[in-house]
Amino acid sequence: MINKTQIETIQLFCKNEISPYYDVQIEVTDHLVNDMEMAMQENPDTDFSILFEQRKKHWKAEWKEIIAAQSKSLLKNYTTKLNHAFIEYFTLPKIALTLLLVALVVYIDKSFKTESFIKASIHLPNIINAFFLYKKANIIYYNRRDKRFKLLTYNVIYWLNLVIFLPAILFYFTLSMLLIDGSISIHPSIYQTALYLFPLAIITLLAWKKVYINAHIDLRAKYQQAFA
Amino acid sequence: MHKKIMYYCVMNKSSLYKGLLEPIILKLLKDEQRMYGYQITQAVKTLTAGELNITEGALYPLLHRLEANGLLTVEIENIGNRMRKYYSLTKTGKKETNFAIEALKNFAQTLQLITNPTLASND
Repeated sequence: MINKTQIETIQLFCKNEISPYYDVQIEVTDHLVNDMEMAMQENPDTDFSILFEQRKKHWKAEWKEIIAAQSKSLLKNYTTKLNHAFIEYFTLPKIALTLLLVALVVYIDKSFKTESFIKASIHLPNIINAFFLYKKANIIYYNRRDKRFKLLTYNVIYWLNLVIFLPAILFYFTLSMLLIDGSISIHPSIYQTALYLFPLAIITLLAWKKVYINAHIDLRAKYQQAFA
Repeated sequence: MHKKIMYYCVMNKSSLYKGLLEPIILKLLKDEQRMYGYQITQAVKTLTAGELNITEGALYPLLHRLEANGLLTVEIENIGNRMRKYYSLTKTGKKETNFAIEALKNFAQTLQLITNPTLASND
């Protein structure tokens, strides 16, 4: 049987040389401890330190690939959930919102100057922030505040959040700034495209918001020890 | 000739078992309700009478993929001196396991026909 000090040695090895992420360390540590216990049962006369040194190299090589595969699985998981959430906006009842957004865009195109709408889209970041101004969404703030350890899952959803949000916000923000500034002339087809892409941008952001919040709720529930 | 025989011996059993790993793991989880990673490696070894030794490189990517696909759920538990991750089947996972076991049975029957052609001709 492995003692507490030996387990701590394995934990430290996992943290320093396998993965800095707590959610990965749990699984790796448990597996390595079991592996060592089995090895020590088979070779009772062997010293823990000698056996540990022998197995380290093998573990480092094996787990590097496992962690890379885990990141890919997580990424695939959340992009699949995003696809499902996005498709919901083309089925009842959410299709009503989609149709409303499309109707709004057509109305703006026919009745107003497209440039005015694009100038107003400078407020898109504020609109997006408003999506998160409700109780359930506070989990994102609490997780960021209370996180005690690095988590692979948190990392993946954080970067996915940036990749999904930033392009849309930057595109509309830059376009509206250029229009307000007026020193660079922009072809009208670009405003038209931006206007007609607007419903797609909003639906994607709404779909991702749902996935992102649920991901944070699951993360908090699963890895309670990783949060203060 | 000797080299050819050696080639077929070396075309090892693990490549034959590769495609069966997922249904084997799903079946184990159905029977045991919940298991952790190392426990699964030992159970597979016992179940296949030592024929199949899964490495962590084969097991954990599969478990993570099954979890990502919604077939497995995870519980983290404090076992005294460390934390442990337990895997168990979701509702979708249980349905999928039934299909997988059915497919495995059909596969075994087909293998029987291939290895014992006389059975097929007698039918």
